[in-house]
Amino acid sequence: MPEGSGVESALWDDWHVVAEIAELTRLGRIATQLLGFSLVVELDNRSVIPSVDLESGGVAPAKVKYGYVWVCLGTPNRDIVDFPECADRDRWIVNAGSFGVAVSGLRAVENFLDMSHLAFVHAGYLGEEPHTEVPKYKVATLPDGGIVATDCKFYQPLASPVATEGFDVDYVYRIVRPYTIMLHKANPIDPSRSDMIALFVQPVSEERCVVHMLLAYLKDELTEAAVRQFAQMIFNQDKPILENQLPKRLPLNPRAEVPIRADAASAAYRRWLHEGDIRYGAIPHDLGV
Amino acid sequence: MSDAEEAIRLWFPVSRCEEIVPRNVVQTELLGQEAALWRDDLGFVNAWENRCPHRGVRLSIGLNTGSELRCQYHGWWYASITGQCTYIPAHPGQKPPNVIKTKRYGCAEQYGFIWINLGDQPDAAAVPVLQLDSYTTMRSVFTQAPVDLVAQSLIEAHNFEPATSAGNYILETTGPGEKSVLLLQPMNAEQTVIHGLIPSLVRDADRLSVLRQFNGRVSEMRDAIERAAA
Amino acid sequence: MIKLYDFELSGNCYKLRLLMGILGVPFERIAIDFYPGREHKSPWFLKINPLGQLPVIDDHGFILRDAQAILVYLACAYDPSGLWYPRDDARMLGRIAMWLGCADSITATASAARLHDSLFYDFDIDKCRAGAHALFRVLDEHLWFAEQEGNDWLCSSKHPTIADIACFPYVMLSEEGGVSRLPYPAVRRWTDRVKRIPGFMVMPGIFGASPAASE
Ligand code: FES
Ligand SMILES: [Fe+2]
Repeated sequence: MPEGSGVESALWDDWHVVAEIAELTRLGRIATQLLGFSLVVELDNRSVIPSVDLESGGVAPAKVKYGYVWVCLGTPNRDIVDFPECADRDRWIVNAGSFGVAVSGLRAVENFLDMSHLAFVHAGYLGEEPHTEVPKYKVATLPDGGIVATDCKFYQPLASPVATEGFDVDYVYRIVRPYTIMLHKANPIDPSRSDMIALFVQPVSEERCVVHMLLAYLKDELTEAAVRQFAQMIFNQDKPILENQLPKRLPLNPRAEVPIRADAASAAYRRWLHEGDIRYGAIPHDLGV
Repeated sequence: MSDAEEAIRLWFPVSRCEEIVPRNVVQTELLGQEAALWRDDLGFVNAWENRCPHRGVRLSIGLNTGSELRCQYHGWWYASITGQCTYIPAHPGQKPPNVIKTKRYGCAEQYGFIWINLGDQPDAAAVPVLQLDSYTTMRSVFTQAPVDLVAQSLIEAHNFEPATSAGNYILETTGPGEKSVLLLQPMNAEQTVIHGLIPSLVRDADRLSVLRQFNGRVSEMRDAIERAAA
Repeated sequence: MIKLYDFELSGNCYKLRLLMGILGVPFERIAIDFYPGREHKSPWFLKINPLGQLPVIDDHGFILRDAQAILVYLACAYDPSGLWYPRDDARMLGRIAMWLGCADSITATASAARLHDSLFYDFDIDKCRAGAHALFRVLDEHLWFAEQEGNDWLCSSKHPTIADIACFPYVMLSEEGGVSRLPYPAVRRWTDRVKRIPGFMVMPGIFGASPAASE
């Protein structure tokens, strides 16, 4: 096990997704990187638990959950995030694929909880001019650490693959780990229930990440393929934005980039990272505005 | 010459004027700083740091509407000339605070080129003076080599010499006969743009062949320099 | 109706959607789970295209594969103006064929770099990027002189051709493979012109342009 990695324990001693189990089953072996360290994930014929070899010679613990392989480079200090929706029988649980992005994973998380880009980057689907206003919403901290944004409402012309017309959609965002975020979105057919999308962001290095998506959608008239295609399309609209952000790491100093009221959630996220002393993939307060 | 502190106070050409076309945004780089160049519909050329003040997205992927530049991420508008943010779509009823502005670089048009200056107090009078009655600008050639190496090989292997007191950034051919002038834009530690002009007007009938010949010569030098740099 | 076996994130599928959109040809999209499902390698799809590649069209039983070939077919069959593929102009056809070949080279380099960076394909990334830069350098120089001659498009014509459509997507997506287009300003002006062709549509990864100034 690499000692003195320099990576803060909150990340080093936590679980991160490094591969999709379906992809690993197909390939037998996947070489990747986590927090700057190279590792190889292998599946031998008999075991569903992959073994992870580190470049440095060590072996890291691995688990399979939600269709993904999770690895902890240090000593696990807590369990993998729980997604109760994934136990619901009337949902499609979909791995929408993993995409490499040339930006800090923290930027990818922040982009996911951002409402004011929807009418531009996802025009025609998750938003549309002139419905650009972001009404006031609430931001709070979660009891176990993390950020929750509630009362988020946004007009969406085609909010999901089953939507046929535009309507105001209710959102709840939860950032549960520095590199993990989930969104609950009111279902267009049964607004009393919600569809869930989680983003597990694998910090490959400070300026590169892999975004792994997990969706738990009410089956309705949907197919699994439709859920996956929709998620891939939406994420790949964000990708060129993320890859054009300068600097690639997320600046935590509030004076580095100008927030507005609509950015309350993003501002809270940056503050929470700062207070938790998360530095990997960030530009800390004291370094440059 | 390669003193970075010094260079930041100098003016450098970054594009031929006529290549800053309406409703387009040009992405360029000078001394490691990216800039977005765009012309408004009245002809004014803006040179801004290539970052939206909001969340850092490159302005060069934004939309030039003729009077403002709109950022691709959240659609904020930045006015030509001032760089002032004039509209934030997430809060359409509110006037954006005055402090939200793009970072502007010093910008001048001279000898058919757009020149920019990264310093805090750009002085347009300090744009290098070339003794030119007339001129014709040539195609700019991107080179995968640092500016010092480009200048050095132009001088040592291709018969160029410094043309002004601006050091090795502006070079002209030695000896008698029609001169060629090359103006170097140090993009970053690895890349240089070679801009060029000839100090005369070219007849319309000859223009294309002159442009092609000049481009052919500079491209050959570029290829030799890149081989040396590799 | 024409059926297009399609993957949203494929630049080669997109170029067909783009041309059919511009020509106003209705088509039905049959989404193939290319990633991560690899449905294009599945037994049922291999019966349609033994090469296991997208895109493929099915025009009332006429099945055709290869993006560039399909562009030729669509322009010949569905463009009454004849401008997108001028069938009687020997030089134009020669130039178009040349740039369609170049489009394939762009796929083999710039698109491969994107597949490597984004979808983890096992390619020699340095070679892919160097190859893309070498092509873009040629493209930029060609387009710069075309502008000097008063031509906006790849094939020295007053009207765009399928060559422009063929080369456009993977040029625009190159930065997803770490191939910056900063050194190619003439390419940037040309891509803006393509984006202003009436009927233009985007795909994820490609943004639209602002409207041209009214004269
Ligand atoms: S980053 Fe430019 S408007 Fe938000
Ligand atoms: Fe988004």
